[in-house]
Amino acid sequence: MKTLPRPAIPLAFFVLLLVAWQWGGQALAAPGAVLIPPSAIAETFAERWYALLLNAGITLTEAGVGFLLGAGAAIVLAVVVDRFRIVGEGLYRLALVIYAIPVIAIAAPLTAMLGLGMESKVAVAALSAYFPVLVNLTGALRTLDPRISELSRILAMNYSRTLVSMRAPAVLPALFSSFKIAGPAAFIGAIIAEWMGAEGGLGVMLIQAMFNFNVPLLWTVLVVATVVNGLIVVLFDIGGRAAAPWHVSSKAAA
Amino acid sequence: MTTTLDRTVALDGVGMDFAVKGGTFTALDDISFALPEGGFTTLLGPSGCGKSTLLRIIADVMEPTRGTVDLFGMSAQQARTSGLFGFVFQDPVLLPWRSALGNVELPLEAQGVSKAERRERSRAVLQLVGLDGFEHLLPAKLSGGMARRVAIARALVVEPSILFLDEPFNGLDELRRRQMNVELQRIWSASGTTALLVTHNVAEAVFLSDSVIVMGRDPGHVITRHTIDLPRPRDIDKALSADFIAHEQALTSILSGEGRSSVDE
Repeated sequence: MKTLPRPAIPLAFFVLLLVAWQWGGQALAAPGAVLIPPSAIAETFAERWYALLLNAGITLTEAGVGFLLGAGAAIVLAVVVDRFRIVGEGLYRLALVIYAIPVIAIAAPLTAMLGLGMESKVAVAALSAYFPVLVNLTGALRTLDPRISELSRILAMNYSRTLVSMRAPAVLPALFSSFKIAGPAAFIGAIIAEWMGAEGGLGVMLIQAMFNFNVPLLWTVLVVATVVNGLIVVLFDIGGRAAAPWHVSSKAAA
Repeated sequence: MTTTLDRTVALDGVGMDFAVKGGTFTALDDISFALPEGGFTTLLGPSGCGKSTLLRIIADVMEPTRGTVDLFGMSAQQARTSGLFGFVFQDPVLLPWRSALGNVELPLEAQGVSKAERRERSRAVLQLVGLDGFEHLLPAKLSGGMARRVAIARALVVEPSILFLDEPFNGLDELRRRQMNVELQRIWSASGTTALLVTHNVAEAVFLSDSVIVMGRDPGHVITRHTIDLPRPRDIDKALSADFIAHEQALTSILSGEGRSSVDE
């Protein structure tokens, strides 16, 4: 075990999965079989890579703008909850209720309201992204070391200085952890919104592939979406380490 | 020491109640005493006697239910917002993303001191606590004793009129604790500030204090005040001398006598 580099073990399992998948796909390659082997996905990607990347770009743009709006609103709301406990509590409860609406149910009326353009996708992405950020950030601010508050009181710091010097840096790791959930959530939210009708995007490709019984394309879109989601998580993981190199989570994998 | 502030610390009838399930719990009752300026006073008492709570009331971290706290002719709140306080917690409570120097600079930032002056004063006080050359280390790289020194430096950098110490060497091993107490005596003498320490350690109280306020519990109250007139600077090697031991025995018997009477009640 010690002689193997750490990524070797998950990689070995991944290769094993691919081999089993390929074998299973070929073995079941009877008429009407639906298990598409990795080789067929690779072929489809080679043929359609331009359209796949173009549509992934569209979805990613919608998700990105939605993420910025949703996460931004969540950060502002979390600070309001932290600063003004009583007013904040009310807003926080309202935010929880809004999150209880299933994304798939809200996507249709939002598309009816905002049209088939980018706005409805951005709105669904934002709705999907704000909640993990709000919950994590509110929790992190609430559970800060109480002596940090005592210290700021003894030093007669006002709230905004406490926020800049102590509270914000202390919750940065929690913020980036929440981004790792909110980022993929925004991306999935944008895909779901595209199902309700759009001019482009991975969601549109999925719907078209389904209606055309193009199962290999369906799987290929799935793989592309998975890779994009994984990259979002990796990006925020690297970002979190860079933003808070002092934190234990930054050293865990070193 | 010279100061333009005319009065020292005075407490009058201070009491503290906490709301608990089905009523109130009286943590402190009828505490009155005055602190001499420039002196080193210790609040000594068993766990749960409310000594840390009392320290927080004097430092205006908490507000008392009853009574008044007067510091240098001001209310506790005025004294706090005037930046007269230095406070050292049970643990160092350093900001992990800031270097030793950055942590010491924090109180000066709050006071709006210029960057150049912040650097200069913070370096000087880090030198005073013996951390010359360790300014740029992050807290995670500091030993327990070094982190405590940074916490003391952070409290002293504002040149406080009163230094509050809430069991500052809690969690250090006995040997390191004694070394830190020698250091604390030296640093306090050099700073010339009034100091108020909370501890349950009798030897520590005798070694450091001019005056020990002995507290009992249920509810927290002042039993007596004991003066330690041993000459300074005090040497750790003399801590086994007859004078030291006599003071330790006197304090221990006050504390244990109180313990017995509360069991009898």
